[in-house]
Amino acid sequence: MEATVDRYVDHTLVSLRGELDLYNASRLREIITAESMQGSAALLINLTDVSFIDSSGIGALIHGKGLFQKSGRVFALCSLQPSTQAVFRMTRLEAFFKIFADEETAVRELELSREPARGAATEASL
Amino acid sequence: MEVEERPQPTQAGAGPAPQSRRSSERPIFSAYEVGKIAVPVERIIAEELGGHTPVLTEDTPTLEVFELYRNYPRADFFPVKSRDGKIAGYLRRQMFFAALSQNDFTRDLLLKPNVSIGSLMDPRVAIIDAWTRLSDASDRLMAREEEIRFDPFVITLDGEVMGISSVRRLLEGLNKYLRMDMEACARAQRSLLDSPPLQKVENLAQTHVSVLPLADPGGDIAGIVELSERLTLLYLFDVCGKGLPASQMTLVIGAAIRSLFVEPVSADADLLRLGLSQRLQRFNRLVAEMTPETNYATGIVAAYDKQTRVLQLFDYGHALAYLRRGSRVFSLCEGLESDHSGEPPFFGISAETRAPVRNFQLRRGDLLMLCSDGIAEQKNEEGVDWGPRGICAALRCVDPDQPLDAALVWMEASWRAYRGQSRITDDRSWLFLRAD
Repeated sequence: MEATVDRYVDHTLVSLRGELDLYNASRLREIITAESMQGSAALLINLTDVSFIDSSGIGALIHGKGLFQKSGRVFALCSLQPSTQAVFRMTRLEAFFKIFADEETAVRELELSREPARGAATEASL
Repeated sequence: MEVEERPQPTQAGAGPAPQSRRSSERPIFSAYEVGKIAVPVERIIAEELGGHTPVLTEDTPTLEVFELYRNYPRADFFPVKSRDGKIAGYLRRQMFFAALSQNDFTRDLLLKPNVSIGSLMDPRVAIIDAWTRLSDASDRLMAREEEIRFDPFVITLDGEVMGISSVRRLLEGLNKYLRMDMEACARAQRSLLDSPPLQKVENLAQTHVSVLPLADPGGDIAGIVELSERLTLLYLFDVCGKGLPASQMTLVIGAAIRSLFVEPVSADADLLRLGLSQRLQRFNRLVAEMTPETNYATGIVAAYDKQTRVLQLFDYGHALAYLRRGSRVFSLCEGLESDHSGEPPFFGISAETRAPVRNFQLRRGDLLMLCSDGIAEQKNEEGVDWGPRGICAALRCVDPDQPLDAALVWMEASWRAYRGQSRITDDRSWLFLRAD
């Protein structure tokens, strides 16, 4: 599992790649917690490259939503694969999370900015 | 999970929050935690070297180190102190001999009596206080650069070098405490749930339940409670995650079922007056309060009225409930909607969660089947899930005239046939009820 974090002026985008399961869910939880502490007004998780998600992965996302919701901030998901979408539908998580078809739709509907955070080099990586 | 981060420049250089030296303010809840001070010293080297680990200094002549490594062939690592007495680096046998053996010139040069090891040592030494939790120590060591990630490290106590240790020893320590916890949890689970380690099969009048943990202790819990002469309660919970946290939550659910449904305390008149829906709310609240907020279970609770054949189904985001009627199979949770309270639809995660409920009028001969997601998510040799479609196809072929344990045998056989040689990855539980 890999994660890329892009910071924009009014939100953070976390793009995940691979399988989100028991073995890396705690790491995702840490990333979400860290982003919450950075004070980001909204966190968008892009799941376009997530091929599998298990109950621990779902737990990490629920944790994220709780964390952001508590302080009146936005936590949203976008670009779910059909297999992930099926899990979300079956467990009725579709109603629980804000889910958008793709990143563009999420940014538009949540009225988020595409302007990178001050000094953030969106193409650079650490 | 690897993280590629693209931070703002203002955050550059900001280190992790300082950790408290002693972690006694954090709750000790298991043998694993109690073992936090047991970062093991590498005894072999200490014993060979007379019960203490020599600490070199930057001024130690290379010739002396050469003799040390030659005389103690199992010694692999020595810490190096700077002139001010602080640990400044380390010197591994491999690094040392690699430097010596580059060519004859370097060997002659490095072994001159006036040459010291200052330039050979690696300054990236890991120093772990002996009070550090094993898990924290492991995190710190694994965060090192790749080429030194598995190098030995220095253990200090009150600022003094206590010894050296290796990642292997640390992982052995972690495993030991984890194993102790798992064994303790399995024992507790067996006593509480009255479940033998690998299989639990109960036969009641028109019901059948089977819980097959992948490993002991398990994360599934299923059972049947006769609430009254009329009313039978069926439950199946599948706790998220695996290992100790999952089995601890299973224990809490099991204990709560006992106290709320199996042996309700007669003095708790309020509880006995509650309807099923309210009692389930209390059940959920109890579990949510007693377990970490990151843990949850999916589950289904059903109450069957034998007189009217009405089945009341509460779904905590589990969805795997099927009804076989004649030759047709229906998914009972399809189309159920959450209560829109903004709470996750799962069990034990929020005190406010209310499961959506649906009533079904069963007919004589109807077969209800609940199962855990370990069954639905089992992959075949091509990596494809059995899924609800596979479950429905197999359930359609159950012989309606056979006893319910035969239904279990048939479903298990169908599941095994689908699985082929692929790995079993989860606990699996089945629960059957026939309306007679």
